[in-house]
Amino acid sequence: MINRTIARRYAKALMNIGQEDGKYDTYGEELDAFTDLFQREEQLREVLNNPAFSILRRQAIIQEIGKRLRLSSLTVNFLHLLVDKNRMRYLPDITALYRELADEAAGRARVRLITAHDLSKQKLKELTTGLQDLVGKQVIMEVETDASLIGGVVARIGGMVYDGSVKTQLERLKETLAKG
Amino acid sequence: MWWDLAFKIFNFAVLVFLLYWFGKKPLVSLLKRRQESIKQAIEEAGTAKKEGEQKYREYEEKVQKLDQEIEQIRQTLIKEGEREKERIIQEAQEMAEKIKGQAQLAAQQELKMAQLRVKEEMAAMTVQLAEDLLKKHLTPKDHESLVDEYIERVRSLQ
Repeated sequence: MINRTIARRYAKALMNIGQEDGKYDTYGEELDAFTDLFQREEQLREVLNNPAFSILRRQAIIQEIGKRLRLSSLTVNFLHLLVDKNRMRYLPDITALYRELADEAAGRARVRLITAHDLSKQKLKELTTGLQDLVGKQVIMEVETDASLIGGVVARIGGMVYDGSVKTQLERLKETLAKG
Repeated sequence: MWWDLAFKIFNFAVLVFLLYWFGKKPLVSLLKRRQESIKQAIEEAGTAKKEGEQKYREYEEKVQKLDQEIEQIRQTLIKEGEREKERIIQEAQEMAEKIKGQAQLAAQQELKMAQLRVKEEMAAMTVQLAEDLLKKHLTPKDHESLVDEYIERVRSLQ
């Protein structure tokens, strides 16, 4: 809870700047790219969270990564600030919350679509249109494959879950049989 | 000779008289005192006898009463014992009923649980079988149909 409160404060601050200069989507993408690397690379995570390395040294590492990822100076400065305030460990939460804020500002919804088998482009398009009409917003699909669903798809939009998986239907069938 | 005899008799008579004259009063007094003391002793003995008899009667009465008291205590104890016995039996019966009730309840509960477990087990086995069959036979085309159905459902929610 405290983590989310701190993360929200930083995400909102960056969002305010992004809304002022109209580049909030760019900052979001950059933040996503850096966070992706931060979560994948354990060594990088350890170094950036370790106070044994000086702040300047850690900021220099971020600077270097920023160059390679072609991050804007504002995003790099934001990451420097996180190092300076010893808040680097909240980066994944900050990024997630920033994504929510950016989606809200752009009037779009993020859909986490889990499918039992890969979907054809046509089906994905139909699904996207259907979900867009359902929520009344532009949707961004984040598709994952999970064979344990057996068949069908599950869509999570915010706090809502639209479950059309065979796995869930079988679970319901099991409950009905056990009760009957 | 005659005179001598007469003199002796006379002397004796004088002695008797003197003895009588001087000895009568103390002797009579002594005898009276003796008589009275004997009488008193007799009276005291009589009183003591009476008192003794009285005491005897009292003790006899007490002994009789004691017997009654013992009998009363015995009866009271017997009654109390009976009551205690009845109370213990009553309690034991109540406890037995309670235990019986609890045992019946536990047995019913156990039965219900077992039935539920069997149903759950059967449901799990049935669903597992269905799942295995679906995994084996569900084709990409079927999956596409499922997605189409899903899209239809999403559209119907609008």
